[in-house]
Amino acid sequence: MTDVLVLSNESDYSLDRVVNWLARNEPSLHIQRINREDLTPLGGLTAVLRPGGWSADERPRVAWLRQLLPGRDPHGPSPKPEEIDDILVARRQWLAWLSLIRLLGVGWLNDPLRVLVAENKPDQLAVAIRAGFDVPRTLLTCNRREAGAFVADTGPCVIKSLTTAFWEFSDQSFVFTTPAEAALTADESAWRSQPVFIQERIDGSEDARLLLIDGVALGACRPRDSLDWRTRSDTPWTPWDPDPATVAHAAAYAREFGLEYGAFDFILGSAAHAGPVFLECNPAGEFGFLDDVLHGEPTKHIGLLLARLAAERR
Amino acid sequence: MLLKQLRTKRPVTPRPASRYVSRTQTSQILEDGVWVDSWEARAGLQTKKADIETGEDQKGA
Repeated sequence: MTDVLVLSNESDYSLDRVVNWLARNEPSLHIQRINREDLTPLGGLTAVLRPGGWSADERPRVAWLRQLLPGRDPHGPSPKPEEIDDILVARRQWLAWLSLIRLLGVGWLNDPLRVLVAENKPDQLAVAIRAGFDVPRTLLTCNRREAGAFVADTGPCVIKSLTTAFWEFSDQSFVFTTPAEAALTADESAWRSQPVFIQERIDGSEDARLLLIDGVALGACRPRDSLDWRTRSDTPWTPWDPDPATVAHAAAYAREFGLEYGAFDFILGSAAHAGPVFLECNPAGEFGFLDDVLHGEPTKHIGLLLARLAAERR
Repeated sequence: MLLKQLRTKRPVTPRPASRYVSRTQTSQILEDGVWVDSWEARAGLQTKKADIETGEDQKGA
């Protein structure tokens, strides 16, 4: 019987670390990794609807969704419209299929249904305030006049998308955090075409990421040299020891969303704020790029979490 | 569309030569003509977050 089922792809190098850690430290666990390059093994999870619910011959104890869902090849040419349709149709089927894992009684390392809510930025900011985090002043609008009034009242601001804004199938362009002032020159019809966040710009000294893994907090930070640290991947990270209040807030936040794992992003060292300023928490945020900086602790604690979840269902 | 006016494009870094090893269920990277486990690779490989909607957040590559 599979103890841990991981759904990903062959280029998930962060996952390689966890699979390797489990093989070395939890050799009794049976790990099954299924990659989107070859979904044949998922045929073993064929399910039949019976009076008591869904039933399958094979049922793992715990599942971890990494990157199973179909997407375009980022290194290949832009797909044709019918190819895009194929990807989107298949993606929706697999997204719906994920419910089967839960319906079979399999545990999740972050239930995808909870992740869908927890990925939603308006939800994130509301929960962050309730959890005790310091959150930037924020306006959610599709109205340029309201945005302009907010900027005039607040001072320097940034503009953000409500969720990932990624032109996956055309040129793979992306909306990073950008200054709001320039956006105010866009015409009103452009503003009305989608809602956006206008947010107080936080001028701090460092960007920080806190990985909360089954209650264990692991932090790293780097000098703040851009509005959006994702645009500068060459700046080195160093370990960061978050204060107890920040860890407590993160734990409360994870509890409210029902997350066992979360990657919290903060700005540190803001003169206008007493402590870390919450930006977002990604329930599937990446950990691999911090693993060496944090001496393998993220990999180890994800491995321990998977082992615990599997043991609870033995 | 406002967001379309705000988007930027980062170059996609070349994909390293890699192979998936079914026995270990992990990947190896070709470095200097030698296959090494991905976590030992010098290149500091990064993968994308596991975003349910897109599998993408432009981190790293």
